[in-house]
Amino acid sequence: MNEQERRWQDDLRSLEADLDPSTARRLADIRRAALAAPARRRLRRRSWLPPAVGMAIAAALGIWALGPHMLVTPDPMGGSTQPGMDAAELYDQLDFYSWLADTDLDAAKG
Amino acid sequence: MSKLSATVEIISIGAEDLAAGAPEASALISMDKFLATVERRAYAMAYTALRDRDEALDVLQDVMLKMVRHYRHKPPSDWLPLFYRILNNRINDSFRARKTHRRLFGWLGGAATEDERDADPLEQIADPARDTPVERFEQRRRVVALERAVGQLPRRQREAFVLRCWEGLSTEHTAHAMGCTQGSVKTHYFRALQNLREKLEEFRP
Repeated sequence: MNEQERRWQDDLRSLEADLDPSTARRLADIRRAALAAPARRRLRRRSWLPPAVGMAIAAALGIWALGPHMLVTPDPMGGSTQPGMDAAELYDQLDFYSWLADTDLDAAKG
Repeated sequence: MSKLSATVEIISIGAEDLAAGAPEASALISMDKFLATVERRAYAMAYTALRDRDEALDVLQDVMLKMVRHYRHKPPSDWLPLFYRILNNRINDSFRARKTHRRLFGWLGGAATEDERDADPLEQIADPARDTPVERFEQRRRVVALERAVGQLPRRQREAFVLRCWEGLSTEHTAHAMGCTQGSVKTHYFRALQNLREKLEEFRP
């Protein structure tokens, strides 16, 4: 570093010494707050919890809302009783339903 | 150079503390000492670049938070170049944000920096009629001119000059802080010196 660079260095460093007291105080406050931040961060480490709980509730509600459409009643005859079943299919299986009703009636009497 | 040697001393004390145990508390104490040593200079550097007190303080806040959160467990000997690397990046972020702001809201007439608000250069110069020694007055004029000239340097030249001349970092540490090779540091620094010599011709002894 030559003479001129050293003088520039001295001049620039004089700026630090001339810092006004309020700015110096602000800097000290900022430093203290920064040093306290890791401790605060440890306490807030479960900040993921509320969004996770919210997502879980939303997912549960979604499943519940879709539930009746997704449930499939087991058909002993291998047929489908889903709400989407068409009228012709239902008519074909009428014999089965009347047999089932008779069987239930007999069982109730017996 | 006395402040730099004080920094080195603090860094070595910090290293001993870490070795002795209680690493978390020890790291925070060492970091506190380190930041207290560099904060005024770093603020003056940020202010020289940005010419706005609040913006410079915001920059310092972010830099200190980053240092404490992410780098307090790094070896204290790495802190100084790391600190200045973060500072440079943060100052550049501020410049980018200003540019974007100007593009978006320029037509509304954006807020001026403190430097632009207090633009009257005569007000910046101490009143010679006051009971101030001529030497002090001349020195003040020289410092103000130097501060402005440094602030007007191209970004990489400013970074190289601030780190090499103002902070007194080695070429190696400056390269680390700037994220470039030592050859680039030398080039930027040389150009910065040339630039400043031209701008500050009237203050040459």
